[in-house]
Amino acid sequence: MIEWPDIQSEVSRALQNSDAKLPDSVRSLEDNKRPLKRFNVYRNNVALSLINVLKDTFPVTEKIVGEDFFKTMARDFSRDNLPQSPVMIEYGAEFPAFIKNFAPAYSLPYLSDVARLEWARTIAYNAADHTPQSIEALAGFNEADIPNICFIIHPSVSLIQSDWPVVSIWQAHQREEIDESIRNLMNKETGAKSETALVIRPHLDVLIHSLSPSTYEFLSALKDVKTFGEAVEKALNIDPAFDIPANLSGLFSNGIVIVTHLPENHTELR
Amino acid sequence: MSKSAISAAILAGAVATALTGAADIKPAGAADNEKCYGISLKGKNDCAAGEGTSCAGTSTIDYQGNAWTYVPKGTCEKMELPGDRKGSLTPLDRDNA
Repeated sequence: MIEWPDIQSEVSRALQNSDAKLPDSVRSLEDNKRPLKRFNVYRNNVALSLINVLKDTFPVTEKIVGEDFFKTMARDFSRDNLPQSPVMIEYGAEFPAFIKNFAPAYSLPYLSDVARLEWARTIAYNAADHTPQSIEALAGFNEADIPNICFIIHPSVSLIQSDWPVVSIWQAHQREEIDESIRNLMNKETGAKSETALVIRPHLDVLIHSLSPSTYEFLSALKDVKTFGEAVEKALNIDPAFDIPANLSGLFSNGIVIVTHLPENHTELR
Repeated sequence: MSKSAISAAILAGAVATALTGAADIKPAGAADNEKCYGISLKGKNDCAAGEGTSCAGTSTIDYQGNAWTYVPKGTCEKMELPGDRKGSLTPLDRDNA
């Protein structure tokens, strides 16, 4: 007599793999036949529900390649990457990396970065709420302490570095109609072709900002719990003209900082 | 604590400048927003799989053999990207057996 848990895992395996044969335990009550066609309906439901989750999380990626291509790519992904959690908002983290290695998408080398940006939006959307600090938090530090100030960065923040104009591509796809404005994504004057994105949800809305290389360096250093002094130094190494006051203002005006503190006081502030 | 190469005076000056210009700066989006509970991204808060999953008795997921579906048909062709690299409708030429 086959045990119930064995039946469950056998059926589960067969549902996930369309090439697997119908489990012996699956029989029609009426005539004891093997209802392969009906079983395939359930296979279909499993696959399509996962594809639909990916469609919802990666809408721009889908717009770029079209529905058919996306479905095929999502199907291939979901076959080998089943949800590890029943929480569907956590599904799709590995999809951008999968796209990078998906041979039919090799001619669209920016596609995986667009997907990374879309995943960062989902992370930001679902991140814990935190009220950003106002810049007044900077007042009252002794001059000698200022280089050692540390900032706790809003938990919704992701930084996406790309060799492609990933923010412009994403923005061009926010309109219903994709018009001619999508052309010329390279800034002909500056020759800038790569973009770095900051994704953040300071309050209710997920925001995407394009960062300069030095600001990216500054923010990623702060995110790595480097001190203010260390972060400025890294930014200056990228661009000697790095504007410290402007970047400090931006840090607060964009809601990036939730706590400003000296590491010595860290335990007190927690 | 590692010693920073930039002087504390310069950093303190930057802080002072940032604070001076800060009078009108409010954290982004700090409007009178109210958190609305129970909102989830579309399609993520229910277990219904939606269209195409009714018991039609047929499989709509079997793309195998449909090699043509591997051709992107979205907006990629409309984009002009750096390095004279455009979206392409013929990505698979080199991969075809």
